[in-house]
Amino acid sequence: MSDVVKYIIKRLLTGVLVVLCVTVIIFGIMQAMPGTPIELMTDTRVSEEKVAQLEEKWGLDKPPVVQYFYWLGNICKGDFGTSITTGQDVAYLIGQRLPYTLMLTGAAILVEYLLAIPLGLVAAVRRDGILDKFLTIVMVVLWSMPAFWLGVLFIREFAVNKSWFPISGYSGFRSLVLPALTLALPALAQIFRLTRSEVLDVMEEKHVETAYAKGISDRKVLVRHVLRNALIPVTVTFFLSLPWLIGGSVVVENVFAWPGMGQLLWKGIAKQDFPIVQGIVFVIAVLTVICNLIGDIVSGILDPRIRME
Amino acid sequence: MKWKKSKLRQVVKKPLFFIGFFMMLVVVLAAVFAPQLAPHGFADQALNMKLAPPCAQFPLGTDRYGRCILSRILFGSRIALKVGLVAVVIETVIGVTLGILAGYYGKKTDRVIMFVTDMIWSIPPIILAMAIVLLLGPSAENVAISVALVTWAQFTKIVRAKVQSIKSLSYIEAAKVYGESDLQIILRYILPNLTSTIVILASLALPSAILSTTSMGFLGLGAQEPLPDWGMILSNGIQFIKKAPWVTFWPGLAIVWTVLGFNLAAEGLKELLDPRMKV
Repeated sequence: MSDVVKYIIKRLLTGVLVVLCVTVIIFGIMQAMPGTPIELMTDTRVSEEKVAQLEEKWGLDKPPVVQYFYWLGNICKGDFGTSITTGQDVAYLIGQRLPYTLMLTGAAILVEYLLAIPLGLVAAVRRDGILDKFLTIVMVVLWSMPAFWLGVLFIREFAVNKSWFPISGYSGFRSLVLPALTLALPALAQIFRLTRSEVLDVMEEKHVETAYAKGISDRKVLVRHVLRNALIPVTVTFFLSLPWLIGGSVVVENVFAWPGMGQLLWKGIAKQDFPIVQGIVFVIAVLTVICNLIGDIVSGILDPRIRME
Repeated sequence: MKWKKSKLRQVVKKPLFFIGFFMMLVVVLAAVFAPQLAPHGFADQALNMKLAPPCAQFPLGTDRYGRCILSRILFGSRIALKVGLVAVVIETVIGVTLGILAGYYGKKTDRVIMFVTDMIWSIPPIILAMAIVLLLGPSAENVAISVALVTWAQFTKIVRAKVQSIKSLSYIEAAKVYGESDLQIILRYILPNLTSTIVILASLALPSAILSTTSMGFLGLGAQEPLPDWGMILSNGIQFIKKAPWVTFWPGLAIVWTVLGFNLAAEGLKELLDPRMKV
């Protein structure tokens, strides 16, 4: 087990380093932006003393490096600062919105995998059949679909014309259906393709042939021998794709006015609200690094060959 | 990039490739002949025809300023293609260069480049791209740059792996013994071996780049009014979804048509050059 532990520790340290570098990049971008938040919230009539006072209050008068470490130190204490535009606690704002984003991405990833894995398996088993060809075409179309358009079509068809679901916002489970589908469907193709090609690869291996030769039923061979091996890369992709979904949710949250982090980030960027943008990107980067780490560890455990690299 | 006649025949049999190629051609022709095809200018306003439904004068209806949707979509294809192409060219150059450096030199160079790659991948691309565009200011050019800056890493990983396997071939060793410089070896022996990989990767990256750039347009970060960015036309139409669904429907269809066409054509190209390559 010691090499597993070593592997995990190595990945953990890299993860921490990555998060640190991400914070530097984001901080750098926010610093390089033209205009200061003070200029945005006050107008030219405000006296210079008042501006200086505000700058001092937010720590904007100090050199960027000092500001960075000040901010980093506070984050380690769980203090994300306060929003420059509304004066609300950033940690509180994020805490309020994070569950909605996680709910949306969680539901989307559930839909994605529950559809993609069985479809991928069926397509691989009936390779080059009508169903396989049909599914392949459907997947290319979905892959080429901008999520925002899909969302608009859904709203028009199922919320405006049929009024089965609410048009926007969050008011219970029914509000979740359309945004989750909008987020999941364009992402479906990737998992479908991966499952299909992995299943095809595994089916050509010797141990599957042996299993058939032993007279084990088709269904048992498929589930026990083929799917079990084919799902290793699919499982790893599960963790790697989470950040992409969180990113995609920025667009989808905008279409459906979903009260998640994406909306908050979007407004924060438009108003150059540094603490909000930095806080959210930090949270997303940490989530991503954790997901990548879990992906690496899971693949290391499932497939011992990876640990050796 | 040699192919046998039998291989060509195989691809000719694939109808999807041809459909894709045809769809692609339609978009390119629309972009080239937009001024001839469009019934109106993309910024012409018919103020007494706001949100007019499709009719003889405005085949796809009008938006809230009474502008012809069809003309805006036709002129918009120029923006979509240009931004997508520029993004792909930049990301290919960055990604391939870093991939070759990492794969060829190995050791510390490799570790630093791979670390940067991992870091870029630790922020969801669209979020990093949003941050970069806000730094540079919203415009079509800056969207292209930002999308390129967050997507080059996929090239790096694949090119690096490919270079690692080419590097150990005996003729490269021989060239080294002859005292050829690293630059000569890279340009004369390694780059030619990468041609089909790069062509495949770039052709697959183009439809995703078009999709990402229209997403940025949708968020209001792309070409600004009155320029006809497809994503922006769509997002400006959402508030009229009940009254004037055509404002959101047609630009969305244009995006799907374009991205799908380029995707199918790219798949066909990959089938032709290197069917076993995993992307």
